[in-house]
Amino acid sequence: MSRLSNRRSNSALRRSTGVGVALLLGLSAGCTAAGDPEPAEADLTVAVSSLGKENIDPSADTLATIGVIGAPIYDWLAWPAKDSTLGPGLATSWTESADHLSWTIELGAATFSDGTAVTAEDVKFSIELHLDPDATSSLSGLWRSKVTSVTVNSETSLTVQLNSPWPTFPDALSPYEGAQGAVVPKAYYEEVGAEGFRAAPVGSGPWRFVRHDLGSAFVYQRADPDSYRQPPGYENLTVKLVAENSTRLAELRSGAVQLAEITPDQVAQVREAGLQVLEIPDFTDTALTFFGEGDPRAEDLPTGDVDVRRALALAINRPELVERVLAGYGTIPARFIVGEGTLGYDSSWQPESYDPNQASQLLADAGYPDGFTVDVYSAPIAGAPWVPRAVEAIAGYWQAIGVQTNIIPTDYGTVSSLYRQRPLPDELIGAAMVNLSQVTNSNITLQNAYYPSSSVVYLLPTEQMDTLSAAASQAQSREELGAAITEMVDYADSQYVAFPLARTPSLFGAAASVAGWSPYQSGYLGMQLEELRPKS
Amino acid sequence: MGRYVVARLLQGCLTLLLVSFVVFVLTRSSGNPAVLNLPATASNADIERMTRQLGLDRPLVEQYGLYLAGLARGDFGESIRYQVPVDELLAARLPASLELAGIAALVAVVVACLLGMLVPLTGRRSVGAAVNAVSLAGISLPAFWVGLLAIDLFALRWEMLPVSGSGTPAHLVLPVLTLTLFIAGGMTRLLAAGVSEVTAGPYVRAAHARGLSTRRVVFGHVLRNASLPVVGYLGAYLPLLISSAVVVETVFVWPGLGSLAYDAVVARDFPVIQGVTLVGSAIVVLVNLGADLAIAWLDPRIRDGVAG
Repeated sequence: MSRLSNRRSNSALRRSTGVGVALLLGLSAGCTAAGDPEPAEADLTVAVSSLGKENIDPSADTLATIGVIGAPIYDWLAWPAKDSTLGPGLATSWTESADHLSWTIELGAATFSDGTAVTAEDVKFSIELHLDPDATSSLSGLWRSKVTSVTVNSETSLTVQLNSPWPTFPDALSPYEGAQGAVVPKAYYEEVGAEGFRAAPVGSGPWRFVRHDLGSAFVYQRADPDSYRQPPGYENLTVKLVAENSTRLAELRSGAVQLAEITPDQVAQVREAGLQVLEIPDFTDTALTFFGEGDPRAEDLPTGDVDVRRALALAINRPELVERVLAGYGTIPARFIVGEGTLGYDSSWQPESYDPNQASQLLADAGYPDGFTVDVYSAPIAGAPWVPRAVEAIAGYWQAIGVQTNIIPTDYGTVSSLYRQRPLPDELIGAAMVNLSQVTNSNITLQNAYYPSSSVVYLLPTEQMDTLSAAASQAQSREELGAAITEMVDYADSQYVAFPLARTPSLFGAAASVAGWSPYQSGYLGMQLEELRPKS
Repeated sequence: MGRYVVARLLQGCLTLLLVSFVVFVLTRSSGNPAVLNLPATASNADIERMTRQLGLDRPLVEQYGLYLAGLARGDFGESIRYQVPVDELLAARLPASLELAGIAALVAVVVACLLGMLVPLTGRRSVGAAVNAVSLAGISLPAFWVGLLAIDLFALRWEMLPVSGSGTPAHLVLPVLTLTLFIAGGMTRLLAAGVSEVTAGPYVRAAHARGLSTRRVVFGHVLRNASLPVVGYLGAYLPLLISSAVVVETVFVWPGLGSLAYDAVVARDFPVIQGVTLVGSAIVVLVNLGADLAIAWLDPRIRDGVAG
């Protein structure tokens, strides 16, 4: 190209570039002007990692979801105190019959956010929603197996008939145990149907429902209820889904949200940014679980031997794991998922110590002096990005006692659909994974999901476990049930099928403008939100 | 030309049928969604009931037949996770994805044209090296990392733009920037090479010799001929653009098909995975057809071949 045409080209190019830059700058300036308005002081926006199935109908989603998105708008029949003891909710009292086969519930005065009164008919209707075979709420299967009928005695009294004693029935009416205690208005639900109710739910809780943007957020407004719960400190509440951990933290730092779920490794960044860290203590147990116990296919495998599983557990330096992998945010639990508020909790329980020498000895005694290779599935879990790092750390500890780890990276959906198959697929027999479970104050959860062969995640389908579980199910008093649960937990612990690595709080970064909370131990986020207030 | 378009559309339909079958089989080999969508305390009877309700207990061929019959009626099924019709989800999410991908592709074309012409037309090595570095960075840097870096700089340090979300033009800037960097990188390199080759061509020298203005030479001859591979590139890169959008939409909480697909895969929400994949594939088919037609329009040799 000639010099002349080069100059011409340059000139044309400069003009084109100039127009382009001007357009981009204009777009940028226009965008900046149209950016997010600063949230008003009356607004509380919360960023969470999951909204579950986003079905706010208490009978249609898990307690983990209803505990976040439903707890702001629903009241429960019973409500826990901060020390995990049970207190009144919509129900002011509950009385067990002499034959232990029915409970009578008396209601206090309360109104739904549409202005109608909460009645015994509403409670009966709400319970019966969970008795429907299509109900997919947590523990709905258990309720169906226990409850035979619900009878209304008066406007404020009803009786629940059972086919077997249920000494902790009142606990089942609280948000620690399930969504069965959450009350919805019968007349409104029947008028709009299940889909209509999901789209515009009504409850008697401290907030009223405003809007649901599917896949994005739930929006609420303060309802100022005349209930047992506190009036909210903010006028408007938004619970929004921000799946990516880094984005949640950035939203918090930018001021777009006032409260954001964070991970332990983000705590330092939150503090450096001048923000606060709030905790719901004792929320999650991270555990090493082994598959195949009780299955004949595992008998000849190293991890089919309880002493080998114990050796593998003893070889893990849990305090160091908590420090390095969880940034110090964790404790060492004595028993897997058993909360201190759970019936049957034994304060004398102590966590096992780190002892690699004993681990080596146990391996040698079991016939594996030179170690072996074990498959460990490694899947990141929503809100728990540390799981793969924990698996790598465990592989290092096991290498020190001669055990090689074959880490199988996968996604959580794949491995969890594998370990829920019956019979377990061959590849899982003798394998392990690091999994998360919520710490429970729920007797029912322990009683019915603590690995017997009747549970979905059975890790210990042995005859002894089934016997202990059945004994717990048939207990006629709280004392009997407590003793049965203690025995069941001790037996499960002695089998090392779910070795607790760490107990972590649920962590939240909070804006400096937010006054802290006094949390419910192991409680769901939705239970805490009305307590948050702007700092005065 | 009309017969060509019809033939390509029929070919596209066959492609979509094949895609629907492959996705159908692959999703069903990844586990039972009933166990993932019921609480951990659900009984085996609950799982069996839900499996029946979802029709997953039927033979695979029968399931696929029912799925195709539904598709013929415009019924994509119901989301297992959200329990709403899939077509409603797609209708709600598709506009956001098209908006993001469309604007990103448009901005990428503008940026690539500017940068691509900069190198050969200035003839400066330093400019060439800078453009080369920028375009290489665009190709090599993971969209996930670029997105987070953009958030850190523009939203947190300089407080110019919102971190994430949607609803205003400001919310578009960072996701568009992230996607643009990715697409424009490759496009710039192709265009720069094309412009270099074309500007050395005899017809460009002849055009200058005839006294045409530089603007007419650049836009009438150089750019038109140099853009042929770029149009082809856009069509070929669309699947990558869609897969990058999954990451970008997740990072920026953009309410499009990408974030919907991510959630659906995690929950093994088969109908949604199938719906998103089918819609994505249909877009790829249509855009590739559009790209081929555009190339035919730009290049008379190809146009004559197609018409003939």
